Amino acid sequence: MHDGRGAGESLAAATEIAADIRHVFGGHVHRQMLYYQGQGRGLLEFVPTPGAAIPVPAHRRWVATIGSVGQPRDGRQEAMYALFDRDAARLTFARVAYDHAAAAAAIRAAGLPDFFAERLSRGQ
Amino acid sequence: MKLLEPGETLDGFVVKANLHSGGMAHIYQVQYANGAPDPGFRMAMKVPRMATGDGAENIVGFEVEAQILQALSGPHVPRFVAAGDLTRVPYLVMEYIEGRPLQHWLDVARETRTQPDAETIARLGEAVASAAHSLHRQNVVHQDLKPANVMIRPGKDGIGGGVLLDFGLSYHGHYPDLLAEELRKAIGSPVWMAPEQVVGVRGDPRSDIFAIGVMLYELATGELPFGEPQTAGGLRQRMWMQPKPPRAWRSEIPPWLQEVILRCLEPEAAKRYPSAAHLALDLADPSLVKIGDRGHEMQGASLGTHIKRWFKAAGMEYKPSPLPMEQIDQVPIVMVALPYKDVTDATLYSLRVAVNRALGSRPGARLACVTVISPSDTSSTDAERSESRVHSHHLERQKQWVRGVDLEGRQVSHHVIEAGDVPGAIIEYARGNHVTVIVMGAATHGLKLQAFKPTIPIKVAMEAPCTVILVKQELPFAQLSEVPA
Repeated sequence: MHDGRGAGESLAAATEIAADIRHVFGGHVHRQMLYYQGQGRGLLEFVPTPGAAIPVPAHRRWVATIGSVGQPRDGRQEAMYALFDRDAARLTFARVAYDHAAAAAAIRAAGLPDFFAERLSRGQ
Repeated sequence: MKLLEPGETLDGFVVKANLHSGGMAHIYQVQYANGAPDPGFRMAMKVPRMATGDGAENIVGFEVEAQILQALSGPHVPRFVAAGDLTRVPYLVMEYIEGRPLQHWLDVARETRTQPDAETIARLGEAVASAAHSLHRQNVVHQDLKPANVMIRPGKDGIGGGVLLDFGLSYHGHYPDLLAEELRKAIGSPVWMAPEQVVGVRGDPRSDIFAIGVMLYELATGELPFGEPQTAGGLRQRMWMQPKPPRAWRSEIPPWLQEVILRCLEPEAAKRYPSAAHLALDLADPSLVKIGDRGHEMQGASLGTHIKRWFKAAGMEYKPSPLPMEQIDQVPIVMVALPYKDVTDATLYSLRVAVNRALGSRPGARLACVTVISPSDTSSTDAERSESRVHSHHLERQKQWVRGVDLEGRQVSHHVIEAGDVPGAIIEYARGNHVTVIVMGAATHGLKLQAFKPTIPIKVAMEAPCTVILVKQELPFAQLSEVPA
């Protein structure tokens, strides 16, 4: 799910499971992104600002990729997560710093390829 | 939804009176139905005419307004009270704004066949620009500023602060844009819409500055700069056409006002005021306006010029805007408080270094030099110490000081303020002029004696509405360069 079309397919698949589904969350994409229905037919993409609570009311359908704790792809090292408050219908994307150098050292110590350690500090 | 009658209740609010029935919504004056007192201000309820099921753009606009109004604060927007569930009972309850819409001044002008004077226009414009800046600082662009959407609170000569209404077409940098489409289209009101809005670019604070320019143009001339376009082609005209200079309509309009208006109406956003704060600063003190050719023109651009502009517009690329807040961060208003006496060369030097740093590499930054003098420094009897003499002495000193600043074409203004309360005067200037950062001396000499009495810089730092840079005096300059970066 890397664009509006992929998000639309995920949404369609989720709707097959339960027709009244409103919020779909995806992982493994390593990118924070919110897809939503604008005035057109397809889903539009929105790049969230970490820390800002976004209204995601349940009369619309939403697809979010919340990013990953390891291996961000946007050049920043901070880990990514998101908080969803269903009662308030708000979604807050977040970035949090962690000791990526220690994590990289642990990867190397475990004998894993250097590439995996290195990309943590590059955020790519 | 059908019109509510006085006495009817909706979701805990009782209707007192119908204030306005527009094409999109009904506005009522309401109170809490359980008899609880108002929250400190009168309340207005806005109920859309259409229901959610209608699926019209109208209801999306209502959703956008509800979201954005809840996120906004400050004196330049109505305070939010409550919002109904959009799928059940859509409504919005907010502060009822006392005062008059900007449209009032246009109506009076039409009835009396007299345009407001330049000073009145400047005061109205400053109120609107200040309100727009407050919005932009909260990452919101209004996108639909027009005389009916701007309220002017009561104040001196009937002109108080500006309050912006109707956020149905607004853009919030932190929220997905519910009005967007894959294929961009023009969203806004044709008369006031900025050229970039015509091609579907949303989120540029300078679009609001263009709309303010259209309003100022009408206040000054009684005419609309681009008429009331009915077609897409007519709407695109403003992308290359320069409107007839206001002074060509009415020669009594001062050049400074024409300069301000035409700068707001530049087709390229980059040629307009870089932020509404810069516009407000010029309108607050017209003597600061740098009048160029634009201000003096008495005839519109020639056909040749328009053809050239047309070609330029045809190739113009409109990029999506960065967050409104980031954009205005790039065009700060830097204020330097210059001490008026007992000042060493080292202090003046370190202030200059700090100001250069604060201006940074941002070409849109603007510098305001302020000296606060004590009222006892001037005298109405002693000619040597007459007010004008003392003021011009300080202005001269400021201008000399500024020569050492790397201005690189950036605008600078000079102010001498007479006030007994120095920190109060500095803070008031900063607040009134949307200053981004104050640079001033730290005045740490003699601090030991004043351990229990806050010094001027400390007072300013504590109460200022913005960042304050306190410059330490008598820095060891010679050694500074040796400090490893």
